[in-house]
Amino acid sequence: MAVDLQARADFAPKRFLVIDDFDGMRKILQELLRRCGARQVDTAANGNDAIVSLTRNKYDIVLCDYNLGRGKNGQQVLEEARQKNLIGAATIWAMITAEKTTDMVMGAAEHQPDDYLIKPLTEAMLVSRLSRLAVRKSALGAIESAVRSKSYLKAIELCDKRLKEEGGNDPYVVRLRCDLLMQSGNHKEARASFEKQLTVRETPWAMVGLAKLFFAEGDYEQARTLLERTLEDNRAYLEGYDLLARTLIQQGQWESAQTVLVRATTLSPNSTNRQQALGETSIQCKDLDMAEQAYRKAVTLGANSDLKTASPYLGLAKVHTEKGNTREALAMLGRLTKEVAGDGVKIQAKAAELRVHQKSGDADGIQACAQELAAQIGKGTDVLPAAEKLELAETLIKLGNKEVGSQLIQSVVRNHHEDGSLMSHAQAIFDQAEMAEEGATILESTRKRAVDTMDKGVRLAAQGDLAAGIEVLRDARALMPSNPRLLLNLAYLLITQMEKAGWHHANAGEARNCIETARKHSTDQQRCGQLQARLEKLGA
Amino acid sequence: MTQTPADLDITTFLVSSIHDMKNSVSVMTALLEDAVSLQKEHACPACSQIGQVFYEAQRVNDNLIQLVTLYKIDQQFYPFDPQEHEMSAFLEEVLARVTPLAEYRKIEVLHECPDGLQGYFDRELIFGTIVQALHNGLRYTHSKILLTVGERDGFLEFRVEDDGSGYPESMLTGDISPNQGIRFATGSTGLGLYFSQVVARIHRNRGRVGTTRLENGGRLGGGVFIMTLP
Repeated sequence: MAVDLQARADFAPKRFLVIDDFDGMRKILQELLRRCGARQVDTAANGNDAIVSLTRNKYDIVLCDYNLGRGKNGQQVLEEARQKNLIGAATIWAMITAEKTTDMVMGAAEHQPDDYLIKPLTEAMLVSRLSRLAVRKSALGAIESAVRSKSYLKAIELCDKRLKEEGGNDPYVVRLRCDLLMQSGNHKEARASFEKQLTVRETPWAMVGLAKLFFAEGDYEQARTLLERTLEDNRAYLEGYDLLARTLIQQGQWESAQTVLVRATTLSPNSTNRQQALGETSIQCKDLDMAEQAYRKAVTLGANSDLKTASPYLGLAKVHTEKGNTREALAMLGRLTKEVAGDGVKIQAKAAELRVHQKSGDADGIQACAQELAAQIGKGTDVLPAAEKLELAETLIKLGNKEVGSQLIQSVVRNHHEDGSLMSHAQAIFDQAEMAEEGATILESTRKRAVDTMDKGVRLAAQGDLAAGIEVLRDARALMPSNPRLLLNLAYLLITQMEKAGWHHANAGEARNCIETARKHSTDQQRCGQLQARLEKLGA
Repeated sequence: MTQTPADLDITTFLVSSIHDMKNSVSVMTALLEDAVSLQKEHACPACSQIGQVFYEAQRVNDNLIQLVTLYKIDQQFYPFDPQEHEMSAFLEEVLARVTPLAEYRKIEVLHECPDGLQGYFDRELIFGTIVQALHNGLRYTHSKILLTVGERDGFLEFRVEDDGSGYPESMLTGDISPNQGIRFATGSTGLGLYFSQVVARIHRNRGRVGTTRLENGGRLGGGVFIMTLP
């Protein structure tokens, strides 16, 4: 009958960290927490101080303002803290914001804080929300740890248990369970769960979940229809926009994808990945101004992050190259090698530099870059994406370095032997260099070798000699390290062997590694999930 | 997408000023809440005035938030985010928000909510609407107000009832248009009602839409504000 004023959590033994750039606000929050019964409250004035505090101490509850002035924002601090394992599954992270923002409707649970608190904060609100979060954390902590260690089957089991205890109602657990079913490759049951949810209510997460299944199965038209319907009623549902853009790209509708991404970035400008996607799509639409704006934003957003990537720098360099701004393009590549670490970055920057010189017609520059790259590739460095490898191959062949050029093309064929459009692109390069026949032979024999090796491995396994099959595929992996079919076949054999002969630590690690690499390259996410689930069952 | 001077009309300034004012008021309310809690301990005579100031500041804050929110909904970039909420917890927070003013005005706040009831809605929008309805009730009631939440015909129904003299006849008939409610002289802008109506209408499920309406009578014999959500 009456509202049950839930038991307050005891805040006295908990350790708090308050992150806010305003001295006044830190004091107000500290005082507020004291009134709620907290005794140990540390403070940090910016992202870097916060990371230091989080490294030194274990906190139970973190209250972090989203807006921290210059430097990292609250979201970046949270992501870095999770990435570096500074906070465990038991830590409560509450993000404080001045108003409700679209970033809060993002949907990607792994990047979300446990709760958002909208200012003005009051004692009653803090006690009520933090108490509830504490209860929820202790109930769901085990599920969360399982998810973080990618033990999806175990996490599903824990969800089932929780739902049974609690009458099947906790909407958070229902949703998480659906996502986990999908992650573990159980599309059939995931679909049934989403559909069951939709008979009760058209929740956007269930609609988008269903759309994800259509997407994964290559049914882009269905995915698109469903997403458009979802967004009609949920105009700020970012996850829906992101998936719709990816769907439209799969359908080759770059202009529509760009419109969708423009809308999404207007709603929420602070996602590096979304700005990156807008940049790439705009380049495809030949809208260089929009591409420049998006990549610039992505570089700025990444500036304070420890997780920055080379992509937006390369994107900006490409825009400058296309616009004929040679100096800016080279300057951007200089910044890239200075600001982003990694050996791969240098090669990617060099390949981009080569394109700058090609555009400006600088013969000496082309020669120098090409030689350097050829030397690196000769050493077996393999970091460039397939399309760039082909582009580079074309240049090298034009400059007379047929050997390294065709070596590059062969590497593309080995890693993507089922991708028809890359094959015809490769053939076109040979045609242009008047090596049509020679090229066709190279392509066919390389492709055949890839297929034969794979068949041989699988055949040996089918005949009962798993170990020999694994050996063959292992050797093949050295030659085609990012071929998704090979990777998944190898993982399959490794897992089958362990299912027969028992757990083998090194082989399990190898299989996991294969699945993770394949997840990045393969469109067959379901098979990835299924293999991962079988692997998890073995270890359990 | 940078704005040219031509794009900067009065709306732009209204919206950005509202934002700015809202931030100032937020700081004021936080400081005032501190002051109020310090006063309590010392039973200072200024206490009741500060309480009143705190309430007025909160009312300004709530109004500004409603304005910004209406603008965002109109421009289709309000981050509408309906979710399941445990109603008892939700009411707890709502009640905590209105208790200081109720205590100051010596008005009893009653509430009813079935155990385990869940509601599906955008937390901030409904929180704002119900707090506003309660504040309104506190102004016009005689001695008590009653907040009830329940399920009726598959809708979630909120009722805010009071024992005051009820709504004027003109407000009870049909839809509430924003202009109809404006009374500059009495301080009633109609904003609250308009806001609640917009908020109700963006809550939809399987072809059904949320509603608001006003009645007189109810269990306490005064005005009744009713909001239903699908």
